[in-house]
Amino acid sequence: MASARGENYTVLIVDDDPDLLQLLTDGLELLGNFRVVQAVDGIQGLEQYFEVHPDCVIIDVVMPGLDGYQLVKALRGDPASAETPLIMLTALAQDKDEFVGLAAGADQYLVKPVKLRNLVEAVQRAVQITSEERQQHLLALAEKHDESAPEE
Amino acid sequence: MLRNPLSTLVVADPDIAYQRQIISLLESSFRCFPASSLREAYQTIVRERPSLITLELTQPDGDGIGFIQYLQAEPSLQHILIACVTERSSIADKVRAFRAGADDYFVKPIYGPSFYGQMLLLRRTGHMARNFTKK
Repeated sequence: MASARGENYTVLIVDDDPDLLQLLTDGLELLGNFRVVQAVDGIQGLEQYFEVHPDCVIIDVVMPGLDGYQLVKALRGDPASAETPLIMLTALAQDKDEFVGLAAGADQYLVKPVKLRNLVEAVQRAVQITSEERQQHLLALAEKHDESAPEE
Repeated sequence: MLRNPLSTLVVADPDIAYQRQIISLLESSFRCFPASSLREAYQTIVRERPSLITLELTQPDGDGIGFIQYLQAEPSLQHILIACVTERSSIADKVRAFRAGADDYFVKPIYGPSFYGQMLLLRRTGHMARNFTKK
């Protein structure tokens, strides 16, 4: 089991910006002591996921192939990957973008630019989330925005 | 208190046990209509005008991916949100389904409480996500 600092965690980063991908990789390796695996689009992200079975996935939204929302849904909807912590990291900063990301199944939604220290802490928080907590958050979000709920 | 009208859902799955499970999980929030083939799914869609469909990709009379493409190409049907609920778990199937126009993808077996929540959220955000994807 990984320690509280997360030295043994494997993190998959999926982002189509090669410069940012390398910056995030260096930062997470240095500050978080994580093992980092990279993917440059949603399809490669799926392939890498089932290759390395990471402890956490950081996902950009705007990508070719599969976009970030689709990648989150593909991972969350498969029992083989459904319990993996997923963090969206994107330049899309509107409330509706965050809502769509969390509704797709992301555990956290972070807006670029993000401080590397904050991203490390986000990964450390995400890997602590239990299946029950994830399910409770999902149901609370669904019920809060349920269109068929009774009206006052 | 008033209750908003339930949205209509077609459950297209040749496995009757799965039809019943999905309907049992969702019938408190959706008007559910079962279909056991693509032909039956199409007839039910035309008759009931659903806002969502759950679709097993493996069907007795064709491939579900082609059915998604058909729904997306037909102007009167392309608004229907499509959730694949399928035994097919390969990366290729997931990619093909999303590229054809699927809005969500669940691999069987489904887990009840999470599936229910995810379907409610798909109904709420599916078109918002779709607008982003088509940009």
